[in-house]
Amino acid sequence: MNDAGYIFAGYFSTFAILAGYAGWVIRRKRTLSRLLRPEDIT
Amino acid sequence: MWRDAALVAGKDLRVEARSRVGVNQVVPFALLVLVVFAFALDSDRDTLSAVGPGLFWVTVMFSGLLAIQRSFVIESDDDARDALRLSGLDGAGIFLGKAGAVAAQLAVLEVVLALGVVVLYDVHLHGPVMLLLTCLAATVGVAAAGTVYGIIAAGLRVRDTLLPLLVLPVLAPVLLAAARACEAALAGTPADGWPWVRLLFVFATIYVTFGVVAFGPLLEEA
Amino acid sequence: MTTKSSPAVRVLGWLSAVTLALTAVMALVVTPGDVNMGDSVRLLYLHVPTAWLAMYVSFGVTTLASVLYLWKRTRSRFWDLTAGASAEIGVLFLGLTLLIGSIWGRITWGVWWTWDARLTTTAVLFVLYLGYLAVRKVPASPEVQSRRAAIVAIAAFLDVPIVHQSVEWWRTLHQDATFLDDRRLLDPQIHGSMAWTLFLGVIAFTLLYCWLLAHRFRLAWLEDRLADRAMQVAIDERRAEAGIS
Repeated sequence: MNDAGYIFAGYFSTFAILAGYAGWVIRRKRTLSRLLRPEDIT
Repeated sequence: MWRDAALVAGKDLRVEARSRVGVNQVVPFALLVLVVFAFALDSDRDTLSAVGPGLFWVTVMFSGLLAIQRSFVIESDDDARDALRLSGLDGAGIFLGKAGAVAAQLAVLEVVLALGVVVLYDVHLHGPVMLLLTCLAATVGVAAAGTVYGIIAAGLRVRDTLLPLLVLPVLAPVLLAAARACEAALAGTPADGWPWVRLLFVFATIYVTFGVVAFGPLLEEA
Repeated sequence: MTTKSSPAVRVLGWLSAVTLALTAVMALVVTPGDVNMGDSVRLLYLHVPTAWLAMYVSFGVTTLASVLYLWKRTRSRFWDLTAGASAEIGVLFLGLTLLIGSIWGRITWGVWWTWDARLTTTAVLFVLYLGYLAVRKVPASPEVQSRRAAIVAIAAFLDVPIVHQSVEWWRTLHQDATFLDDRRLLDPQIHGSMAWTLFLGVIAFTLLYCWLLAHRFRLAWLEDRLADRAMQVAIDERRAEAGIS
């Protein structure tokens, strides 16, 4: 494959950024759910 | 609505005329920008006259931002906003008045800047009709879009940084179109310029309409 | 709503993970290089889906939700939160589009950036919606914040066709040397597996978008509830101080 470095870098950074964002959303969601009492989350 | 607009515009322009911020600070700032550009680029006359239209409009944008900010600073100082809200004036009228006042200030600024460009950058003014129409449409567009975003950013702690972030991308096509139209006019090839002038008028119409519709709700509870 | 994500959302998550992995395998291993572009075509399997989802789906949803919020009969916090969540994902995807596009440009044209019409429109759009997200972060009472955000979203959306038109003319009127013939490059003789991979990529990213939107919306909703509760606690404390119960 030509330009393999660029192509792999592109794929790697895309998936890393997406995973990072998804991880941030889910972690923050968990933190917030713990702060709220069950009766608030209905 | 028109009477309200005239009242608000008159008030804004009177405040500006008396405070002399425009004359003492905004106009010198704009001229300073022209000089700074000359330092940054090249003192070569060919370069400067070639990029003249673009620099002119960039300067108008930045100085316009100052004018828009001023237009809402005078409302948020002393809580004049509340007075405006309670005045019973029509929201659309207030919008047209404020945008009109900004447009008038911009027009004055453009005249001064045009002189500056002619003198400092050695630009020769050709195609006056197209130049005038371009200035008219671009000024109305900048003033209308700026006023819509001005009220959103007004009175916020982050106003000074938020307004440019919101307004500059929206005005990107105006900058592009106005610079290209002026280039075409100056180069003596008006046929290239007319689509841009039309685009400027479309932009101005859209944002004036949008402001007339949206300004009431924005003013109400901002 | 419960704290745990619903089974449907979890299935969606797994599906998008599997299709994304499949897309990557197809794109990097199975498909051949393009006749004109060579191996750089492999980047387009990411570039095209992210661009499509960001510009049409995400910002479309934001605009629609903002209109529904402003319309009195459908006004609800739900639409405002949806608009915000969708715009954030859109900005993320558009950022990825620019990143991948610029790597592709580096390979194909030898430069990271050119002032091509499509690139410029995308960049302006990116900044426009960054502004929208900034407006959403400015503190205000919930209703003021929502209404302000909805109006900014619609104003930004109105600008999109004008930006597109102006940039398009800018490039066509000022065409010095054509770097590439867009139409030839982006509509090449597509090999069967290449078309399927592209299609799979679009599906994968659509699933991912839906999954992210569900979670991001949920997060926004939790933030909202937390702010409500903080307010309620503060009110209760004041009342207790004043001896009212």
